[in-house]
Parts: sequence; structure tokens; C-alpha cells
Amino acid sequence: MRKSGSSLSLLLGSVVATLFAAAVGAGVYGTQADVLWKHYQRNLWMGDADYLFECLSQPGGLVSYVGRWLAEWLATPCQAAVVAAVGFGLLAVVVQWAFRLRGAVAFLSAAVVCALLANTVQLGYMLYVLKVAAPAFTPLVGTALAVVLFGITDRLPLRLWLYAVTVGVVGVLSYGLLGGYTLLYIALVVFGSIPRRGKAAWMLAALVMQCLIVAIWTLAPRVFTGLNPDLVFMAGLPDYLLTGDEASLWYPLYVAFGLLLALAVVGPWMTARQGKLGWIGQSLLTILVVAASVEGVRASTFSDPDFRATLRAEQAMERGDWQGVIREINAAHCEPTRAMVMLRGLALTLTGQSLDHHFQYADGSHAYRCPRQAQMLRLMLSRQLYFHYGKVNYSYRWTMEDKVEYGLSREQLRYFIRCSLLNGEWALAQKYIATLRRVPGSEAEAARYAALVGRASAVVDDAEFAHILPLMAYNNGLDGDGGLIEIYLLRNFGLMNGGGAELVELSLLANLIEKDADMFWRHLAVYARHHETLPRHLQEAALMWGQLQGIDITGLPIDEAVAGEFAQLVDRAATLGDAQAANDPSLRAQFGQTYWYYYFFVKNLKTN
Amino acid sequence: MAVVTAVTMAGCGKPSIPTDACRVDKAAVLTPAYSDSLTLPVNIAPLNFCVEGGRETVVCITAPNGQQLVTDGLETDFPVDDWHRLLAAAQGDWLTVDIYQRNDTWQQLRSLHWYVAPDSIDPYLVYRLIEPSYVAYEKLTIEQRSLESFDTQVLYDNMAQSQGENGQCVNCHSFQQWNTTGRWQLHFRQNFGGTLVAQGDRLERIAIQSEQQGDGGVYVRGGVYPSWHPTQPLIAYSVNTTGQNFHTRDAQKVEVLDYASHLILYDAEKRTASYICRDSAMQTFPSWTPDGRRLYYCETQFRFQTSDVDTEMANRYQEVHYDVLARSFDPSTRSFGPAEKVIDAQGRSATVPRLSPDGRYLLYTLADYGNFHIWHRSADLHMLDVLTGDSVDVAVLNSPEVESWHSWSSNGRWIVFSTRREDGNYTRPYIAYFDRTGRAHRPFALPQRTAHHSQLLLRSYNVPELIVRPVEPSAYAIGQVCRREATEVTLQ
Repeated sequence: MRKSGSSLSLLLGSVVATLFAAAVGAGVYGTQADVLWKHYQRNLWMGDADYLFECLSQPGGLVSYVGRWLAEWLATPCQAAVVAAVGFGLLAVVVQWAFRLRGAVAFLSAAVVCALLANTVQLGYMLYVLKVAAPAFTPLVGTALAVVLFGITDRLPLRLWLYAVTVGVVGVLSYGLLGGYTLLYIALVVFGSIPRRGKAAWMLAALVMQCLIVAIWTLAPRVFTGLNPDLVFMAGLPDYLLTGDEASLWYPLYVAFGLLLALAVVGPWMTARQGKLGWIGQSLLTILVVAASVEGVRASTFSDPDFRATLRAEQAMERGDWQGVIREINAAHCEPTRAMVMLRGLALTLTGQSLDHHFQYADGSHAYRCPRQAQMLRLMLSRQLYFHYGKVNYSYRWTMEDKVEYGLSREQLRYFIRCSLLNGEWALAQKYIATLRRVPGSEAEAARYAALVGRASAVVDDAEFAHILPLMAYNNGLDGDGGLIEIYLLRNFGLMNGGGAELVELSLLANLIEKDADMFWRHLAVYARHHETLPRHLQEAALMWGQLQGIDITGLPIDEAVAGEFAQLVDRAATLGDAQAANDPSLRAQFGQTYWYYYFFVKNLKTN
Repeated sequence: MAVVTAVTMAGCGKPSIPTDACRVDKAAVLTPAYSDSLTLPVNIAPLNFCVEGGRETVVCITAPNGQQLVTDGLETDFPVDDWHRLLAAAQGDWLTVDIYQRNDTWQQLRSLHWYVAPDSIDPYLVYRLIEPSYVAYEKLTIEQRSLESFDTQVLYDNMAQSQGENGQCVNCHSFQQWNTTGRWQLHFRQNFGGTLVAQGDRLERIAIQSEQQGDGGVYVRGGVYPSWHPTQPLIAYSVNTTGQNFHTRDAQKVEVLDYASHLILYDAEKRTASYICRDSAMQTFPSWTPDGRRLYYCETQFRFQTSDVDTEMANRYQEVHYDVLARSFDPSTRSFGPAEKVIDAQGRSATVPRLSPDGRYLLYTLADYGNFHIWHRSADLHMLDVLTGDSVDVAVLNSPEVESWHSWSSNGRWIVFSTRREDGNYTRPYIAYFDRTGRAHRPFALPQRTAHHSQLLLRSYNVPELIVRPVEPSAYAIGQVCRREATEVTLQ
């Protein structure tokens, strides 16, 4: 009775630990919808044999193939929660099985799960620079497979020498499927042999491990032609740098792998001896493990209002909800990054509000909280911004560059198709649509775009493209942006000659942002010829530069209220020095939403 | 009864020809777009294709002696050996391709007729696979494809030498005499940069010293476009300073332009390099005659007028026009004669001159301007009969899209060239017969194992070169040579 009762409590502990792991996985992935939406957009998986072979042609191919498939389920929070619950729950089961964990000790499997969850939630902006496939799932898959392999080989009733040979063969063969996670498997075998098979076994295992490492290091670059010999055991692992600011990104994986190695040594022993702790001791152990695990996930979670706001705004943009873009950026209530400023600026332009409201909103150039800063804006939003601003070739260009560097994603496919349709490159659009059709769940999207192929008038009328075509009415030229998106757009629009109404407005806005009076007057002359009234910011700029440069603006339709406000500004500023004025709260409160404030006091913004 | 027979035979696993099919005068829509009146080499891999639009398809290819190859399914999948037997049976004669398609009932569409030439094509094609990208490069592979089957071997993968930001570009594979002599070379840029020169078993990496051009501070880099002398261990290179700009609106998207370029001669035995010509003009694309006594190349007289070469080139790029010139070469003294104009492009721009193995026909690419014609829709193949001085009509090779880089087979009967005719952006190799009377025949797409391979492949085939003998060193061995110290070669 005691024995069955003990077995029941052990089983209960395992089940509860598994459910806990599944619940944490579901909770984390289900509440990180914004971020995981981006994981999903940057992912791609195809169900055909060609794609499978393509994945398997690289070391760690099975890990990336399965990881990418799992990432396809991140499309909605509900799906993400379910697949995370199943995936991380299975990992917990596998860890318990491999290391014979039962009862309270089984909660250590959940600690492994939480470490891997921490690895995912810590990423933040790093998501834009990592080249590893499906970072939300590949560590889970790689770890699980390595643990399964260990569990299987550990249970084989083989003589020592045969066990060593088996481990060697499995290790070599598994490299193609697991990549760098093979090293985890090898290490588990070595550590696992310590308690189970005695000292001789451990020494033999260590020898086999060294031989395996040499064998893999020697053979792998000969088999996989694109494998850098210096990176044999990094294949398939996240490509964080090992030193410097990114060193800490490895900590969750160190914890996960360290726990597994420890469990390989003491797991069964702990399971056997946990009864000596009594139920209070076991409960305390459980609480400690649970608390540490949850705290680890919480502390690792990348929490940054800029980042989340940008992602939500981007989602709104994809829905064509430009008011939603403005709303999401403004809801962040923090100094914006240039990405946020540009998204909001785009939305204001496309809703016809920019020349009235652009400078009402807080500006800024908050640094991206990312160890890698180079070309962050380019990586985040180049194809989107260029596309919606009518720079279709540049959108296509950066989409292609990203495809080359980071691999094909559904987001890139979408922009390839969009740019090809706008350029009237029908055959090219069909090529990309054919690829999109191979992506499960994308058939409707592919069909929608396919219906536009060869029908220029349909493209013109389509809601997705209609606002872009007027912005494409400029002459061709040879140029380059050097990866500096905002600067290129500002200079391109700011120095533009002529163009339709939309382009002239963009030119004026660029002149205001760049504080370029000369080009402002030129563009204003064009604008004023076709409009009876002037938007607010144009009036503000005309008043200001008119006064600074002694230009007669009496012919311009300036509102009395705006003129009056300007007069007040002049009076107030006269009583304050520059340094005081910039920080004067009353000045900011009264004039902070005008172009004047931007012109005089907003300086040193850094962009790229 | 016929239907029952067909169904029964289908149930037995062997495809059968529908006997109840109604003949219609309608062309089949094939992917790839294999057309009527193609000329095929007897040793080519199967031309697998898909017949679009039907629910069921049967294809029957018949040789003049009655031998048949029948396949069903949405795509053909001709067994390689059976295909070769069929082509051997039809050598010097015509194959009939009967296509049956069923939606509600069986229809026999318009038949195709393919001629099997008596001439074989060289068994291997070497090319670079690369995205049509602009600046970034990641996975670049040099591949060797058997033209007699679908076997493909990766000769080199740049990722083996790339790490993080320190990537390696690989390009410009070039062979002496279709690799019959075992001499070939490969060029690398950035990480482990230099040129790999192979002479049989001997592989070495050389680095030709760059130097500063006198005018405008434009730097001239190491060897770029190569051409092996047919008999001697000499490689003529152009050394180019190349820049890249982007069209803001034009769907051609990219302009790759030389800012400076000259020709040099590298002696692979002595490891010395010297200028062939070094004047204010820009020379590029060297190409030897089959007897090695003349060097063809392209030259432009374009000159910069300001020191702001970037802005000037962006404004004047359409003024860059190349003609084809030639210089005599004395192998014993290694000296070159004066330049003679061979092709006056007459306001257009001629590039990539390559002479047929019999020395008679000069195939080149002509476009409106510039030299990197793979981005120019106006680029077409043209041919000059060097013996008579007449143009040879090769319009059959061209399309409204780009035709550019080309390669002769060792017997002079086949031309492989790069084209973007399928979608305007991705380069594909096409093969065309050039018969003994000097006539070019309709080209066809490189056969692939699956019909939609080309449509789904998001990479371009670059610099397709036919070779007779396969490249032997493994990708790993080549990579190891890359990592060794490069032999520095100073331009004299």
C-alpha cells in the first residue's frame, strides 16, 4: 500500500511538473503575441520533399526543419500557446524519462524548460540580427532530440565496448541532424556514465567523446561543403557572440545545458533519495525550483516599450490601419526610437495629417536596446518604409539582401510579390507567388496576389497599392542609400524637383525635418499655387523663416491664430536665453507641439 | 473497350497511350517552355516538363525506329537510361513528342518535334549559384552539373570560409581548354581573398597586388575576368575597380560599372604578372583565340571629367560604350601587338567576346551601354563571322529579356548562355545548337529533375562554362588551400 502510494505520489509529481512546464510555456508564448508575430513573419516552412532535403543538407537540418514547422504555429496567440504547451510539456516528459526523474525532483525538468523559455524571451531586437532558424523553437527541438538520444543509448543493455561503439556511431550520424546539439548529447553520455556504469565506463566515455569530437570536426566539413571548420559545433545553435555584450545571452542555455548535465549525473540518485526529505522537504524543493524558474523567465524577459510599440504598429501597418499605427506609437509614452518616429511619420503622411500634426508628437532617437546597433532601422523596417514611400526598387533590394543574409521568410516573399506587382514584373510576381503557394496556410494570400498578375488596372485600384502609386511618379536615377534609410528618404524627397501633390507634400515635410529653408520656399511656392489654405506646420515655418530671413509672406494664407501664437513665441523667447528656453516647461507646454519648438530646440537626433 | 484497356494497363503500373483521345489543334503549355523544333544533344539529360492545365497527362516520345518512351503523371519523369537509349536511336533524326491531356475527356494536343543532333555536348556545366542580390552575399556555391544526368556536385561553398561579418565572395571560375588540361582558376574576395590557380593536382592561392591608378585616385584591384591561354600556363585578366549603383525606378534595378580597368597577363608557372595595356582607356573581358595568337577584349574610351567619379558616373553611365578589340600575341616573346578594332559597337556596347573553337565565329553580347549586361534588358547575343566579316543571324537565341554570358562547347556545336527570359530577374542557362553551316537553332532550358525546379529556385546561374573533364579536388581541399598563405604577385 505504501509502495503504491509512493508510486502514486511520484507519478503525481511528474504529471504536475509536466503540466507546470506546459503551462509556463503556454503562458509565456500566449502573452508574447506581438513578439511571436514577428517570429512568425520571419519564419518559413514548406511541406514538400525538396524543402526537407534542403534543410537536411546543412548540419542540424532536422532541428531547423522541425523548429521552423513549429514556428508556423505562432500566427496567433492561441496557436502559439497550444504548440508551446505541447512542445515544452513534451520536453519536460523527455527530460524526466531520460534522467529518471520522478516526484518533486521531476520539477527540475520544468527548470530546464524555463531556461529555454528565458532564451526565447530575452531576444528583443536581437531577433532582427540572428541568422539561426526559428529561434523560438530550435533550442527546444535540439535539446529535446539530444536528450532523447541520450535516453535511448543509456538504456541499451550493451556491453561496455559495444556501448562505446554505439555512442560513437550515433554521435557521428546524429551530427547531420542535430548540428551543435550533438555536443550536448556527447556530454550527457560522458556525464551519465559516471553514476551508472562505473569509473571504467566514465573514462571510456571520455575517450570516446574526445574521439567523437575529433571525428566530427574532421569529417563534417568534408561532408557539408558549406560548413566552416571553425564553427562545426556551433551549427544550428543561436549565433550570439561568445564574448562582449552578447555573452550574457548564452546564460539561459548554459543553465539549461548545465542542469541537464547535472541531472545526467545525479538525476536517478535524487529520485531515489527524495523520500528522505519528507513531504515538507519535497514541497520546499518544489517551491524553490518553481520560484527560481519563474523568476528566471521573468527576469530574462525583454521588456522594452519601444520594441513592443514598434511591433504593434507594424502589425497595424500590415492591416492597413494607419490610425492604428499612430495610436500604437503614441501609446508607448516614452522617448521614441527613429523606427517609431518613422512609422508614425509614414502613417501621418498616408492619412494626410503630416503637415498639420507631424511636429505635435514627441520626437527622439532613443537607442535600440540591442548589443548590435549597426543599421538597426534598416534591418527592422527598410522594406516596409521604402515600399510605402514608393521606393519600390529599394524595398525589393533590401528584401533581397535580407533574404541572402537571413534566409527566406514569409515577410520577404510578401514584399517580393508586392514590389514585383507594382513594377509590372508579372512573371517575377508569379515566380514568388508559386513559392508562396508552397507555404502551408498561404494559399489564400497567394491566390489574392495571383489575381492581380497581368492586371495593371487592378493593382492601381487595390487598397494595398493605391496609395503607393502616386509616390512612384518620379524619374529614374542611379543612386544608393548606404543603408541609411531615413537620411536617404529625407534627402531624396527634400531635394526633389516637381512631382504630384503627394510628393510635394513629402518634399515639404522633409524640408521641415531637415530645417532646409531654401528648399522649403521652393516647394512651398509649388504647393501654394495649388492650395487655397496651408496646413498648420507650413504656416508656422513660413512665419518663422519669413521673419528670420526677412521674406514678405503677406501673400500667404496665414491664420490669425497661428500668427498670434507666433507673436507670443517671439515675445517669450526674447525674455529667455537658448539654454533656458529648451528646458522651460511653460514654453514647452505652450509651443511644444509646433514646428517652432522642433526647429529651435530639437537637435542632435541620431538616425541611420 | 479502349478506355478499359488504358485503365487496365494503368492499373498494371505501365503508362498507356489513350486510344480514345480526340486530336485538337492546340499547343500544350509546358513548364519549362520547351517548344517545337528544338535540337538536342544525344547525351543530354531528360527534358522533364509539366503540361499545364490538365488533370491527367500522358506523354509519348517516339523515335524514327518506333522505339517509344511513355510517361504519365502531372510531370514527366523520364528514366535517364531509357531517355538516352531513345535519343541514341533518334540520332540525326527527329523525335515526335505526343501529348495527351485529360480534363473531362482525353485530348491529343499538337505534337512537338525535336531533332537529335549527331553532336554531343560537353558532359559538364560549371556555374555559380547566387541570389540576384546587390551587396550582401551569403551562400555562394560553384557547382558542377552533369549534363547527361541530374547529378550535381558542389565544387566550392563560400560559407566554409565565411564567419559573421567576414564573408568571402567567390566567382569567375575559368578553365583552360574545357578543363582537358586540368588547369582552372577561381577568384575570391574579402576573407581569404585572392585567386586559386589549379594546375592538375597543384592548387595554390595567389594575390595579385593592387595599386593606385594615377588619375583620380581610383584603385585597381586584382585579377577579375580571366581567360586561360589555350596551350600555355598563362591567364589574361582584367583588373577592375567596380562600383554598384541602384536604379530608383527602372525595373532593371542595378548598374554595375567599372571605374577603372586594365588587362594583365599572369604566368602561372613563374608567378609573375604584367600589364598588357595600361592607358587611359578601360579594357575588360579578355578572351584568347583557339590558337592562342590573338587576344580579344573590350575597351571603352569613356573618361571621367571630374574628380567626383561617383556622381559623374551616376549621371553619365549611359555614355559608357565598349567595342571589341584584339591584339596579336607572340607566345615565344610574350609580347602583344597594337590594338585593332574588331567590332565597332556603333554607339552601343559590346562585351564578352568569345571565339568558337574553330576560330571562325565570334559570339558576343551587345546592349545599349555599360558592361555588366546581365542587368540590361537590351542585352542580346550577336555573332560575327571573323572569316567573312559578316554578321551571323542569331536572333533565334534572343528574347525580350537579357541574354548575356555564353560559353562554347569544345566541338563548337553547342552554345550555353545566360538568360533572364523566364521572369526578367533570375538567370538561367539555356543551350542552343550551332550547326556546321553556321546556323544557330532554338535554345532550350537546362533540363532539371523536376519541371518546376527553375521556377521555384530563388538563385541565379552565373557564368555557365562547359567542360569536358570534371573538376577533381573536393570542396574541402579547395577550402584548405584558401586558408594557406597566398603567394603575392606584384604587377610589373
